[in-house]
Amino acid sequence: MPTYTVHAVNVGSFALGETDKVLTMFSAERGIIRAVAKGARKPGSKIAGRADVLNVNKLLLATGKTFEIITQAENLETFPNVRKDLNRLSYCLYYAELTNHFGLGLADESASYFDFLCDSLRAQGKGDIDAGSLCLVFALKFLEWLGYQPELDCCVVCRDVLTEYRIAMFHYESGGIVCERCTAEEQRTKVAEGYSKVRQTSSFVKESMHITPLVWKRLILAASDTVPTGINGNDSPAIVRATEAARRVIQTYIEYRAGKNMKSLELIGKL
Amino acid sequence: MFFTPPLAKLIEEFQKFPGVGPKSAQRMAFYVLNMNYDSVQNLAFAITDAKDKVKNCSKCFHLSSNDPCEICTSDKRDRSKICVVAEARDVIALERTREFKGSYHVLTGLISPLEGKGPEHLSIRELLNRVHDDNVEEVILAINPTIEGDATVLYLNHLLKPLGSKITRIAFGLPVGADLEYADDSTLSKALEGRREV
Ligand SMILES: [Zn+2]
Ligand SMILES: [Zn+2]
Repeated sequence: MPTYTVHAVNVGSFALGETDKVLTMFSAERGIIRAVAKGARKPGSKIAGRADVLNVNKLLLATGKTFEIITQAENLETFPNVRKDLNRLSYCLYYAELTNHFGLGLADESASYFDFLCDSLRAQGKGDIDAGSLCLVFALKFLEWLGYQPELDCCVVCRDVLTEYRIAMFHYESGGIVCERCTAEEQRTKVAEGYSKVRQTSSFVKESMHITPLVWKRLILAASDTVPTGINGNDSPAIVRATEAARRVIQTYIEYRAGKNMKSLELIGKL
Repeated sequence: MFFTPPLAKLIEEFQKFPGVGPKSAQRMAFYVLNMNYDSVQNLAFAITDAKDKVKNCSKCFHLSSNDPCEICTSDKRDRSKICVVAEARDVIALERTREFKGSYHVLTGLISPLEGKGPEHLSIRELLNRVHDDNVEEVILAINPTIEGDATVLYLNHLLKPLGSKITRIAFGLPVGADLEYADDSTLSKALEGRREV
């Protein structure tokens, strides 16, 4: 049986048969791989500790029929600090969930995405920067990897340069911000067209989200920099709220692109 | 292979059991056919009787035919200590040690963020009520050190802290008789973390 070595982050798993587990992982060498961890659900199994989501392993894989088969696993990183904070853990699981969902589109750049993912998990583990801000930076970079990076500088309809006096909506379908004038125009047209105004308006609300100047500035800041400068524990409550609102806009935009809600962030809302 | 319909049906039903494949299911079905009629009736009765009578205890959610269960009603049990576990089978494992004389609380699962299984699916509200109403001194979390286990512990800690009881989590580390050299990194670091004075 031919074998090969990969370095991979576990991003998901499901049970197989009585004692096995299928791991979905993102590898530096081949992008998304699904492999069977034999006996991972057996008590005292050696592989069990390595099969948990978010673990980084060096693995020896054999080519199987449906899934690859893990023949050896050596643990490289486990991010223990992330597992001590529910917010950080939820965000890291969110990174894993996004990677699992969109990972096939990242195959060409698997090595650099693998590094980016590990760095992002490490940053959450370090704990010196607020978890939500880190997630916002991750999400914007992630969209860039996928080629969906949102337009934040110009209006997606009229292409005019945006200023803090001219922003209105983040429009999910167009993947960027619509200026105040275009938003007003759009609403006037809808009223003029006159038909089922209520339905039109409600669908427009679902396809877009209102943005304040401060939220827009947080988006610009997070998108412009790999390290979120100025986002730390000393921010004013208004900045913290705006950063969280910016994160939610991008979260919704990603969910719009994914066509489904990500489950891993649900817990944060319940705290 | 052809089986007459009632036999095929029996094989099919056995095959739904965990770990039972077609071969074992056939063996079990033929075994049943060779049993005497009384034994078969006893078996069938035992199945429906267990299903009818064994329920979750309304207090601790352990499996029992009494409600409240034997552990909840025993006067030899210390009600100021609650050991929180994920599943009823964990209670049975802990009871085997004969070490613990407190009471239990079965969560009926763990929070699994990636599967969208949230705290509302677990008996967490009931646990909080017990800790509050029974003046519980210590809540011992006997929950596996997996991602799901860690998420559940963090969430419970967040809710239990304000109630003022001592909250502990059982130690994780090397199995008895194990060799340091062959332990994996995360087990070793857990063992170091849970070290204590000798
Ligand atoms: Zn415009
Ligand atoms: Zn009980």
